[in-house]
Amino acid sequence: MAILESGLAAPRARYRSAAAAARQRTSQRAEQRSRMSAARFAVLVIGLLLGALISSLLLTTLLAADAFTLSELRATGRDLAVTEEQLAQQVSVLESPTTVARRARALGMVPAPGPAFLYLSDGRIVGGGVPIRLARPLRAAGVDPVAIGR
Amino acid sequence: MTLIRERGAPARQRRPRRTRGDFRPGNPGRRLRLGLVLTLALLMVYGGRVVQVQVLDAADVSTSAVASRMREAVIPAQRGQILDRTGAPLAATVQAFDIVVDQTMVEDAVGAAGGIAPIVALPRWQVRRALTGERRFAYVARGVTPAQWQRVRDLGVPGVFGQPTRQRVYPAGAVAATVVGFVGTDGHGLDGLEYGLEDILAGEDGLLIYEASAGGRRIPTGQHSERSAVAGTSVRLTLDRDIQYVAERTLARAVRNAGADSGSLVVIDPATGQLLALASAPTFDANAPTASDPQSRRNRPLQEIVEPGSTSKVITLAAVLNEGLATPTTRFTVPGVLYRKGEDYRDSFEHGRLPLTLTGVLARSSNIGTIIAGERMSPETFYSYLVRFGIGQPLGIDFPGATRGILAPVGQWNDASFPTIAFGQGVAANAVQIASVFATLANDGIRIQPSLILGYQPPEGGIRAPAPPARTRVVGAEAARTMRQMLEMATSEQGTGSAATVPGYRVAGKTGTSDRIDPECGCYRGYTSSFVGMIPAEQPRAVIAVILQNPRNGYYGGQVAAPAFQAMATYLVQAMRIPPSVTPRASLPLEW
Repeated sequence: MAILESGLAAPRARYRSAAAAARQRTSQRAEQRSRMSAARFAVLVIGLLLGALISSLLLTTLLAADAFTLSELRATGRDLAVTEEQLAQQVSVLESPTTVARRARALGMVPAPGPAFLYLSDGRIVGGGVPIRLARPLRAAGVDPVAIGR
Repeated sequence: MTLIRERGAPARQRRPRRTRGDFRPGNPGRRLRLGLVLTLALLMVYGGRVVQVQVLDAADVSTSAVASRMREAVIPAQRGQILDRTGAPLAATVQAFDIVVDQTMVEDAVGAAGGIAPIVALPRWQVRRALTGERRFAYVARGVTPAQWQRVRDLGVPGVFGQPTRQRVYPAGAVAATVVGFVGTDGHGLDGLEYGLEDILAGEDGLLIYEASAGGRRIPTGQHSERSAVAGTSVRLTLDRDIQYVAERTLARAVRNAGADSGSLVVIDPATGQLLALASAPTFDANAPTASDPQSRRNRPLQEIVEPGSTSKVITLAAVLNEGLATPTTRFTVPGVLYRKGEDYRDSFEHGRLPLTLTGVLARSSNIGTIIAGERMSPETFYSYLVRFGIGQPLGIDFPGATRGILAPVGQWNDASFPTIAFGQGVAANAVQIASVFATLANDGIRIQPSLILGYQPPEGGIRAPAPPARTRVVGAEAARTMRQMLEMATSEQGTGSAATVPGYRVAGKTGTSDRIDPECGCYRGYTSSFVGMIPAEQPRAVIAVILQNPRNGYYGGQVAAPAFQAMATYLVQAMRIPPSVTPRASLPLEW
């Protein structure tokens, strides 16, 4: 392509006149102006690009920061859920009949052999609370019997 | 392109004519044309490749490009809990950690083992062995609590990592272990309801797909997709954890006192057919199933069949009463030996001719009297009652390995079938089926299919009840009431079950002693001793069945099983707040 254009450019130069020269002067001023505006334009474009770059960086950083906060909060939430689960499990172990019965026995308690029912209508007592002979006194279990009732 | 054509055209004019076949390599026109062809060919290959990559295989290629950055992570579904009727957990899933090691990174195995071993409660040598070697992945300890892992992490041993995992725990330990079962290390059910209800409990694992950097770190702005895990459904059982615990202890004590091999104890609420306790002895700790004998993991009340023996006399006599063929005071003359079709039948005690009423036949547990009374009806009629009472029929409880018992169809009965089945031999049932017979009488003759599951609790909330249990009228309300009075006489001073009485309460029940089927030899060896009863007799709130296998310290049901019934009933009247009986005990003559 370059070869073809240079072939055409040579005859064109021969037709240049004075008017053309004058036109050239004004066009030189225009060129100066356009060169200035081109510089401004370049600054503008670079500015825009820089701005876009910075804001995109900023945005990414913010997102990343949010992601970190999110993962931190998630971790905290997970830890708390685990703690809650552990505590709930401890409670269910402690309140299981196996544990309650063992602890009651350690306190010197024994299963009640027969309940007594008090009828509020006529004050009758039906059935009998059977007294139990303890194998060892309650205090021997290291417990103050008075405190148990509290 | 243009350039080549422009320069090529004048060259053709200047070229001198040549004859065909006169090929000179120096010819530039030809060289150029050749070059052109080669270049075009090359470009076509490139172009084709571009088309192939960008158009034809575009989808595949972009997928594999994305795949090289995408990571997948399975989000394990939370397994449903198994709860008792009050909502107390029998099986739950908690967060746990597997401590794993890259052995090539460990520098001081001995020192590290000294720090880790006491935290995870393992012997020091075992931890040291796990830490030493050339393997990039090995387990040090599995299923430790988050607190334990935290302490191990604080030691800062290089190469030791924690892998989050879920662990199944059984807060009540051995309580209801043979009902609940247990899971394997992969978290899937292996036995009991954990196995039977696997589909309901398991839920559905979720999947997290995200874009990650080469180092495996998640790219915050990258694409990701998440399919949430669907938690499993929790199952609420009809069992009561406290009643179950007492039932297990009571049974264990009875088995020990009687020197028995094993035992079953069942508690049913007759008004609903719901099982309140399903105890089995021996049992095991569900938190350490591998440490137990497989025999101790059986759920005997559902999986083991026994010949019910005398407890099944109530079916024969209830049928006779309901058919109107006898009353509680109908007189029978019971000989010492009864001959039927070449066989002779005897009672458990030697006697001459006894003048017994129908009540007396039951209370004294006379085999001969039961046969004589039963012969008032046809085998077909008797068979229809056995079926309606649920003998040999599927229980309707979806439990792995649950048996339906053995009852030969009436068409296949031989000469000995009718008399032996009349007093509970030659027929087999599990403890729940036997308890259900008494629950039917306790519920005024209406049999409610026993149930073990109270409801399903899906993760989204609410509670879904299972299909209502089948209800069938087996005997009339009057016949059922009369049977209860006769059973009350069986626990009187003159009956065989006097050891079952609870002071202040009317108790109805029946002892049973039968030949035990030994699964090892498939023969009869030892005895099966049982007591099945209800409290209070006038308006039963609970039916309790106790069955002991091969007791050695005495073998009569009234001797070894009735005390366990009494202990259980004494607890139940307190736990279920059953007031003492105010009406007088039934009084029916046993002899005439």
